[in-house]
Amino acid sequence: MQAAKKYVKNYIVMFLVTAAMIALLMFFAPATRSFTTLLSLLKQGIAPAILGWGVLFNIKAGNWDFGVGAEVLIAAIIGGNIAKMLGMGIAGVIVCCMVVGFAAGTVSGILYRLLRIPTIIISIAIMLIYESICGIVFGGKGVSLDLSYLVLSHFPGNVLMWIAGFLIAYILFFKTRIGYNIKAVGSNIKIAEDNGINVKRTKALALSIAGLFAGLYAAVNVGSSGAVRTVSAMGTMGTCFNAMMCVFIGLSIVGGGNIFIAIYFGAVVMQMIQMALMVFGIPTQYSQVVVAIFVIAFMLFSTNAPEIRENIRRKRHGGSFPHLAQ
Amino acid sequence: MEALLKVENISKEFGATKALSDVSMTVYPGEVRGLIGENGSGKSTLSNIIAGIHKMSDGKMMFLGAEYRPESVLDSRKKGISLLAQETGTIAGMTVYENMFLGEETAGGKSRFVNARRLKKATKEILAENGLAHIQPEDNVERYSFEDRKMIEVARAVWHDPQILIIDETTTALSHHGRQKIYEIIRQMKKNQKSVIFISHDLDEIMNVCDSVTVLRDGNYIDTLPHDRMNKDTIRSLMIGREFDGRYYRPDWVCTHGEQVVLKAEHIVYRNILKDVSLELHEGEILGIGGLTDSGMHELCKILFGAIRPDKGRVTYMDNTEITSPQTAMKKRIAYIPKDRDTESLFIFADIKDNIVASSYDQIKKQGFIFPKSEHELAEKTAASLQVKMRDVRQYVGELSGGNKQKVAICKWLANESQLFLMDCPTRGIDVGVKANIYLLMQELKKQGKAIIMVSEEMTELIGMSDRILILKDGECSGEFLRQDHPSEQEVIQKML
Amino acid sequence: MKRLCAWMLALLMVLPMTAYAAEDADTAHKIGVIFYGKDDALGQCVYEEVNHAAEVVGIEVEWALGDYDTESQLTSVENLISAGCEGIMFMPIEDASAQKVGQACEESGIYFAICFRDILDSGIKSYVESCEYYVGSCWEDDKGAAGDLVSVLAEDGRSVFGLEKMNPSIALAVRNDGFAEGAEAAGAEIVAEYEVPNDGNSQTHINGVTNFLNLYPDMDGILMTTSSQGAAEAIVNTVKQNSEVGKVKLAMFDLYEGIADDFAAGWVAAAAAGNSPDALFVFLALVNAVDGTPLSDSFINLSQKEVIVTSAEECADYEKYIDNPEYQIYSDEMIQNLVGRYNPDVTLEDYTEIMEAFSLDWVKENSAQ
Repeated sequence: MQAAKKYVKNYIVMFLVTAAMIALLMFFAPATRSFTTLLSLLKQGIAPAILGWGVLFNIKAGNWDFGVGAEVLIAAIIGGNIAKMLGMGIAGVIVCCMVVGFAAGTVSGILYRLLRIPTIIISIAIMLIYESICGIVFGGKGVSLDLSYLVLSHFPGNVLMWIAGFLIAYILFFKTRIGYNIKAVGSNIKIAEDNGINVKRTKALALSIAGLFAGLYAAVNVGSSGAVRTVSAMGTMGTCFNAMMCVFIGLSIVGGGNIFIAIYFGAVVMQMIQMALMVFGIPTQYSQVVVAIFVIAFMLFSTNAPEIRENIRRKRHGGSFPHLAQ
Repeated sequence: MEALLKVENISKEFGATKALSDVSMTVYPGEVRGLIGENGSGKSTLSNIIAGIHKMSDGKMMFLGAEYRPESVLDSRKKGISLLAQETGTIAGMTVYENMFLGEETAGGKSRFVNARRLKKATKEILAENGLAHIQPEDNVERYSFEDRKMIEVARAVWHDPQILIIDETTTALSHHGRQKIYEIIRQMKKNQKSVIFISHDLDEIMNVCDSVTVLRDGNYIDTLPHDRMNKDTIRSLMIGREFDGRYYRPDWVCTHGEQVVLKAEHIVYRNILKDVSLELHEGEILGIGGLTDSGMHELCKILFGAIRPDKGRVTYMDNTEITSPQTAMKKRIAYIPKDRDTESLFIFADIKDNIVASSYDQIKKQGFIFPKSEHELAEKTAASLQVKMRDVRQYVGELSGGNKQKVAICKWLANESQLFLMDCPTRGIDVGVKANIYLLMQELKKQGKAIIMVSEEMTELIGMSDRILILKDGECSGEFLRQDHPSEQEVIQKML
Repeated sequence: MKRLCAWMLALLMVLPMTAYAAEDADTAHKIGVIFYGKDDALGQCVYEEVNHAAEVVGIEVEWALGDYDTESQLTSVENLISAGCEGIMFMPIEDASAQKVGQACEESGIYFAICFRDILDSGIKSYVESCEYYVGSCWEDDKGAAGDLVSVLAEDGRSVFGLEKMNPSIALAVRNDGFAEGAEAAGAEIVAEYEVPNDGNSQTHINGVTNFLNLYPDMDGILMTTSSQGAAEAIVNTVKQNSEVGKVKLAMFDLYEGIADDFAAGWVAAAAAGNSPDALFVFLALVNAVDGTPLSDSFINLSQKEVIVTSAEECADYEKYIDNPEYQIYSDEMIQNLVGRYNPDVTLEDYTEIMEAFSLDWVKENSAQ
């Protein structure tokens, strides 16, 4: 009973927030009132959540990695083409994309350790390099897969990918030393180092893990859409930022629950916002503004939650209303 | 008797700075070896080398008869040497059990995967063994007080059952209860023929706890005194290289201060920590506040600076301005030197200059611009006034010894010409030489008419420096002593307990 | 290591400067071309036909490919001018690019011309048209083509559309207006829209179209302002997986690999094919200006009709005759007749006449090969 109570307490925030937002959408937009819409939202949240899980490792390790979008691109194009050439089917696409994605992330990590410059700079260079490579390999044509490969956009393919991604993320973060080391390094480098943790190696591994998830996301992408084309001029940064938004929302609603589930809900919330924009006919020019406002609102809430709780506690104890900081 | 640890001709350079020069030391089983020296003498550097945090530039170490070159702290722990560091060693944002097994999450497990349940269970047992059953393994470590977090580090250091335990200026951060716990651990280790290297600035403590003491000065080995040759004056002289006249507290025994009340706290209530505390601080007064660690005196200091908002009550400056935030306090030239200097007082990854001028930009700006030359001059002038031992003001503060860090923390407030100082344990973890400097500074500030509140856990310091002493117990004022009444330690302790 | 990298980077940056420093007085006139790329069929066609035309009329061409923003196009024009180009043809990625590149050419006394785009911003258009060295432009009638695409759907009895919309700040945004006006004229309604992502992420298309289909069960057509960067494949595949043949049909700009099969299967109703001859005519007009035999005393505006394909057969013809980089639509003689140095009597009307005649049928009949 205690365990059940604790479970509810830990997950109540993320469930309530997500459910409340969906309920609000359905209330104000009759067109969305259907089980199909709900299912659609849950489905649409899968792919961005997968990438968000990988981005979390970087954020927790204190890495700024803007190359993750380019890693998705290169994993899809090279991994997808190799699998197609070898006739490996969708399983081959998944494996090849993950291998290429992991390798792409590992190159970032190696460069970081070798060159000893901040991850943000490495990631921007990597982004430009990978985008260029994608414009060269396979004639610069990207990758195209026929309908027989497109099984990851619907059940059971999408659910299996969610489960696979979740298990990998969960095990790496909670069940391996690297997960603990990443948390330690991201929280306090000095103390982590003083306790024998190899900081550079840990941050490099976080980059590799993000690349692995970039590969998984690439597989879902190409296994849903059937085609991925080249992008240049740092166009892949958009992919990276979208994933970060899911993570930020997830971090703000996680409460005591599992962060990966929270990120998934964060992804669902992001898709819900996009759906709301469409349904309410808000011009697409404003979509980025709206998304940014939502993310700021979530971050505002989570950053100030301790102070809000403190003020409520103080008021309950008969204290004065809090003064505004001068 | 065969030596347990032999340190031979150790040298260590940090860039151009030679932190240790040809230092040798031998520790025997069952020995409690004190290690003492002024700030910058190399004690922490030596202990860090032994514990595997730093690599030596030259020299050799032998442990249990074999060559000893630890790769890291984890490696040294595995081999049998544990370190209890001076500053905070637990990571906020992680749980107690994660901190307990930091870097060794899979140790003792059957697989390469981390078993959180096993770690929590083991943590619970370790905490219980060390009298910390009130700490929950799943809690985030920042929920707990500085003292509790330090005790978690103690538990972490001893659960490996080390052959040698290095205690680096840890006791100064602890309450009476905490210190007793450490002394019990030392006694147990001695009984089991294991050794302790005990670093402290408290000469009384060194004399009580240690079998012998090694003195370092400016990175050089000076001497090792067996217990029968240990006395305070000799140790002090060896530390500073000259005769020490032993006086650093105030020589006078009169209450001297102005009539003007510069700071007033009225009926302060805060959670269950402070129940109803009022005080007045006069210009030119040193008001000491003492008590046990959990008496609320540290929180009171934060409230006086506006860093914490009380549930009830108010703090006002002499012009009736209510102090509600650090910004308001700083506008009134109120300075605050916290107890936890590394996390609350200093920007550890910034240089000395940035730390010193951090509160003084308004003073040095010209037409809205701040020029590097002005910053540099202010930083150099202020650092020189307190004789900070440094390469130059561009040295990172994290590279300084504890005492020099504290000097930099004080410099910050001298640089912005503060008029009122709130000092929380200002001489914690500082050697006798620097302590004397700080006490002289306090007297100088008092002479200038500046007011000081000094929160301290050291009785002798409270009695030796304060015009007036307020004792807090269980969140309330339990006693007040005037300097001219020559209060004794027993009288003061009675009000605390 | 860091020092070595810094030296290598400096060397790499300096070396190209020496390449542009050399001048050879004996080379033919040189014209620079700034284009988005030759990764797709349109790009390849433009590349081949311009190179072929240059060879036929004795002009040297220098290419700058892969610029997707104003700053990079500006950098490219500066590099091309430094390399000795006497004329610049470019496809501005946005109006601001038209102004900046035009300004760079004007200040250097270099003739310039725009292909494939009209300038939407009136202020920028005024500026460019006032430039002494501005030769003119040729653009496809995207607005008209959008209206034609809507008409095809409307004639099929469809009236509830979703729109894959272009970013309003770029030149291709005229397609948005074309679709909106076309829908209004046809008595149809655009009920929902989403914007083409900058990062080419196909998830945006998948989610957008999924929302279309779920939230608007009455939707029977999707209007697409672009098929590039995998958009077409993502949209078509999403429709295939979530709808049935004939319920929702697609009308789009540009073709994609596999479109013929989708035409045959009934998923696609119409596509406005990208017309490569724009660049050829602008290029030849620029050659005339550089040669000192301009077609007009003022700038010229050429309009290129777009080919609308509505079946797999038309698709095949288009791919064979127009969208084929190895196939030259115009003969060497036709090309030389449009250039003063070979035909002193060439006029602007000759250009207009040949461009107005352009169609799939004309190309089949007058096939150069």
